[in-house]
Amino acid sequence: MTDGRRPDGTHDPSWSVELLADLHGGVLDPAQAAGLRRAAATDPQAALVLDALDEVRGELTGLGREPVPPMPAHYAARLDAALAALPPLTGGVPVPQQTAHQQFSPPRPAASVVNIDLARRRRNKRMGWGAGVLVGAAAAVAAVTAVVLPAGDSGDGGGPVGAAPDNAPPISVSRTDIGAAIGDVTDKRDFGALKNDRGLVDCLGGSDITATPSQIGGVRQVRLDGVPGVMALLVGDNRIRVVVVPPDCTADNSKVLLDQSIVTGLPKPTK
Amino acid sequence: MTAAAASDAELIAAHAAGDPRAFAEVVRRHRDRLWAVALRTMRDPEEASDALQDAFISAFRAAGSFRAESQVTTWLHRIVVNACLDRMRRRQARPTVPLPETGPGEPVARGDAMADRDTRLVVRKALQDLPEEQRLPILMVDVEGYSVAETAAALGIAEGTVKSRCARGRAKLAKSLIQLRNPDAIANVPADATHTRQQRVRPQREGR
Repeated sequence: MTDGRRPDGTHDPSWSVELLADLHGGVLDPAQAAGLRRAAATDPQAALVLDALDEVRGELTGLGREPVPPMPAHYAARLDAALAALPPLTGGVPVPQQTAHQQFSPPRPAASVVNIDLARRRRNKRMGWGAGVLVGAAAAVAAVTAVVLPAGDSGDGGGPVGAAPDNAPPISVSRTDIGAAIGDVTDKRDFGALKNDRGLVDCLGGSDITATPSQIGGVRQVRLDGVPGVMALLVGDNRIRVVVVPPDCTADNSKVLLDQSIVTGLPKPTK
Repeated sequence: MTAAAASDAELIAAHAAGDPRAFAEVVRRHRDRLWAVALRTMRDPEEASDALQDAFISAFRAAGSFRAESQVTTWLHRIVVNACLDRMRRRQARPTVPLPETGPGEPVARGDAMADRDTRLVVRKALQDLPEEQRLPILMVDVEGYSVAETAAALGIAEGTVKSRCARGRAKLAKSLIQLRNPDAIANVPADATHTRQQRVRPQREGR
């Protein structure tokens, strides 16, 4: 079918699929619409096109109402962490009310980021800064220890971390300010001597910490208060579990140097 | 306030008043639905994730502008669409990565007849293939339910342009559907099949 042609390939100057779509979409002026409607009323092919247009409209409407899969956990965790990094509103700050048309605004200067990688790095920095502030101040989020993550499958498929291995030098982190390191670890895959997801999961299993590769939100070699280690972020429901293990950790020789969870949102309500 | 029991509007008000926990509950309630909106619009999960984060940060900061006479869901929805459009304007020349036909962007399939499922898949595929200038108005008007005027304001184009772009886009989707039903000629479609379709879905025929 090409523009101006009927569905069966013949040409009838009185209508085309495009013209019927204009009629269907309320684009034509009343006189043109009336004439086209008359011409189409006695033509089964025109009726078929109008039926198809109705059906398309119905499908599109249905698309917006269908059940949706949940946001993937690693994106949800990033979102939670970014929001947790924002300082709470202090209240009473006047903000101009928008009119109905202003609700769809032009691009905001604050969002004028061109390079998405830069934006992601900036966001990760925000996450680290915010988490540090919030852990330190015990404000919007709370740091708790030894929170048990929901048990998952033990498959060894790839996790959500998409970045290539990153062999940047170990970063120095402090036990008293773990949150500040999160932004530097998120999305990294620097396993050091643990080599890969499997090595990390085995090491953690040796200390009875159940984790799956899909929960790993970032791994990086660190120096924890001067002690070499590997930090892993395990993304769970409404929390990020931060674990540091020795570089030579194995299932049979497992040790945990640090284990903290950062709560990034409210728990699900119980019914 | 018990966060789980509070209304959305109460939570937004509590957040605007400085409650550090209220906004997280709003996010928890609406995140998945808005994720679907962002994913449909951006077509790429990473881009959708960033757009949704932009949107929630914007809503977090703008909570004081929310007025209780409107729905929180509607307010958030607009902010998400705005964030997506902002990102799309900025990326412009960057090619998008279409979603696979099944996967994270594909809404959960239900036990419909195979023909209905084929119809759905063909319409979705054809929608993904539309040029942005037609896909976005169709997404906003037909899928998300915005009026032509709201869509025109959001996209910065005339209302008549919204209507004509929607019509041209729908024409392409209709052609895909017709070709699915009868790849050779419409004359081969049995009359009773045509009749069935006429009875099945018939929303308002002429414009909004």
